[in-house]
Amino acid sequence: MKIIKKILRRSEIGVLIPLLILWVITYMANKAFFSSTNMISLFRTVSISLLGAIGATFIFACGMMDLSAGSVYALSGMVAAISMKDLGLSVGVAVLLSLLVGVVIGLINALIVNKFEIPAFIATLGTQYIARGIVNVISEGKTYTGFSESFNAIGGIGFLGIPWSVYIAIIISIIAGFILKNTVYGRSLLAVGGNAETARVCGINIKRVRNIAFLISGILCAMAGLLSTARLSTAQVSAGTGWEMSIIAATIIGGVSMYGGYVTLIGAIIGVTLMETLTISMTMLKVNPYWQKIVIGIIILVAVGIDTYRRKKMSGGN
Amino acid sequence: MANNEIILEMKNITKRFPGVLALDNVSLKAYKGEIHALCGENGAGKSTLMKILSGSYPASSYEGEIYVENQLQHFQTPKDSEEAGIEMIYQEISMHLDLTVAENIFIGNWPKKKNGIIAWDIMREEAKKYLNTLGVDIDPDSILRRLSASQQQLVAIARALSKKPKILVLDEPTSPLTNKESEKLFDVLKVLKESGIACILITHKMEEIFQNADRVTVLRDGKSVSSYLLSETNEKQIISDMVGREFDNFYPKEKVKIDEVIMEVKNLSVPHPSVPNRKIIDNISISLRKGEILGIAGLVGSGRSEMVNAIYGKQPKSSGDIFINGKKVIIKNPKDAIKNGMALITEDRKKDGIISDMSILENITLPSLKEVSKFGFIKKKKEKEISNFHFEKLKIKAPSINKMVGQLSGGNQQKVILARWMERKPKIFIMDEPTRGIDVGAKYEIYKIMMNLVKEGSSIIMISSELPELMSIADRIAVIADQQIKGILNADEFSQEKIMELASL
Repeated sequence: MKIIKKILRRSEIGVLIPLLILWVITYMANKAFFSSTNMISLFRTVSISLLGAIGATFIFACGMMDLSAGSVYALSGMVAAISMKDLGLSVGVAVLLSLLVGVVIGLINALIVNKFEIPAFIATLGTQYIARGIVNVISEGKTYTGFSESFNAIGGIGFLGIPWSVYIAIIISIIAGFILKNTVYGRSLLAVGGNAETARVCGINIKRVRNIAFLISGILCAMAGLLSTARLSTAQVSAGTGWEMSIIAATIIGGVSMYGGYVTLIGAIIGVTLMETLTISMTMLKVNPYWQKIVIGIIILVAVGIDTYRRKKMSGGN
Repeated sequence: MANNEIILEMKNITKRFPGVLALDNVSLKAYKGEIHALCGENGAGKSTLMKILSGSYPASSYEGEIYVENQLQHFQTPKDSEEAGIEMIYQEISMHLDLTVAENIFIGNWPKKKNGIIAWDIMREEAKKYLNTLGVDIDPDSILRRLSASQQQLVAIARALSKKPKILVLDEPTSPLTNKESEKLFDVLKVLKESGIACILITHKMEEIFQNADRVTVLRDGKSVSSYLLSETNEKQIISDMVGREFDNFYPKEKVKIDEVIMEVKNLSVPHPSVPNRKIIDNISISLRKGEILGIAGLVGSGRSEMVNAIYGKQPKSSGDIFINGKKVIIKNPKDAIKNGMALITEDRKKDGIISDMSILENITLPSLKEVSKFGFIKKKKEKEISNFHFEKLKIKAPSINKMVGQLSGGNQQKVILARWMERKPKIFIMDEPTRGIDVGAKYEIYKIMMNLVKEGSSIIMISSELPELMSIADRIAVIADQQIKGILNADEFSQEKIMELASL
């Protein structure tokens, strides 16, 4: 009983219940929903978006914002494609270069925000355009396909018939959860998001903490872009357009505070799953595709509205 | 106080929150044309009582009756309370900083022309009229942000007056003000009182009560304990009513051996934080001895906080050297200061003292994360032990160390901050207004903690606006005014007159 009560009191329950309801409704309308093909496809998408959402969680934790996620996603995939197809580099080198994209853009974001003191929203909006522009320039607008089998395998099915990306997402989630809860860095990150000036008075190097968050976000977005490119066996200039917004929405729906200082990784996972389920469910429920975006927009507003209301009530209702 | 006409009576008010009896049969009587002080420790029920009066809690949510001019009232919303002639001025000024003075005064209540367009000229004139009533010279067209805190407050009062109140409630109005500004505020309140308005003043400051109020009501633990005419009571009586016990010696000063110089600051200059090419501290030198409590006095805005913040590396200095134990140290940021054995309790707990969404435990270990971890991993058990140790030692009032700090009272938040630094056993403890906004009982405990710290060999630099406190606790007092130290007084030279004289040089 006690455990059930404890679970019910967790903030994540507010997103878990709608998710379960959505699953049941979709299943009742279309029995194919829980088929293994469909589930694999759902969780492959979830796992890729989750990487971005974990990055967003770190960014939000310290009160920052990263709008460059979708462009990093595209650029990392494109760099991998060009390395292999045009430059003839090996798969291993291509993967490393593609992850390096995340490192570099993460560091540039950090530099602009912390050195030149440009607000994160503007700084990463700038790098979003720049990175997207670089994708166009280096690909000359071309779509790349036909990669080697060993590269495509990264996005394919792995052990026990589950996609590799799911394993990767699980491992990264566990590491991220551990960092947030049990390390000096995680604590410092939340302290900076909770009250940056207090953190500084207590001797925390707030710029370094934020730099690392941007770096983590960059790498995770690059990883997501890479996995998606391998899975689709395609790199195209429009990849990941608007992706940053959907991972931000998923993270916030999950209960992560945009204002810093409060995160829930489990919430972020459920949030991403909810967002991705929605897309699949609406298709299965034959909702007019034109209406899908409207529905998603309403759900974002309702989820955040409920969460704000609940948190207000919890803090004594002032 | 010739008036014996009761204007407000709150009768047997009882308010329950889930699990808590916030107000237990509280009564309050305010008379026409008086300044009525309402005091009590934090959590005594002052704010709850005022929220009931303002209509923030609807009439159905509590028991008891409210009469305004003998008329029974049922406030459902703040609007109802306003219509009955009650105006509130809250601690944190709820004003629109980027609007003009006139716009602020008439916000939501704009004078309009027949066609519904705002009558700007009437608004300006009317604003001027209310400001004149207060005897202040503020341009109705100036943007509020450009005014000082005290001017902003006067605008808030003008706004309240524009609604022609019978009862004006002021929640700790002087906390952002300097002494001079406070005096001016009370001059204004006295004018209002002459016109028949009852001013209810919520305050912690005894001095204010005795200089300005006509009557005082004391709340304790949700009950009304006593109500006196000021002429019939004294400070000791009120304090003991507030805390429920007698204080023989409110300032627990003890003699501590004062040793060699531990820190020397030479030729410190600090740039003005908001005015370019100006200094807020100019070429100050000062020393601190082991076991000493060095008091810093000065008006708000004299640069006293900026001076200690610059020593601690919290804000940049333009020049100056710091020597600790005779050795020159480089302090560029708070991290360097901590390494050199310093600790800082900042002036504004909410702004840069606590992290309100973190637990007591997380707040306590914040500067000691390195010490409670190995290879970057936090040792949770050790962290818990340390926090529990201080939690119990400082008697922090909370259900457990997992409670969010934002939900504690001011005094307990301050204890959490003290605990945070005591864990590091700092040699030099800088405390900027350590007892501001804290109730009397907790103040006493904080003085005790300070005495223990110096007994154990720490040294303290203490800034305070409350001179009685400063004179009772400090061993020496440096007075800062006009960017410089105007004088350093030894204990035998302490007097309020002397300090104020130096501070206003």
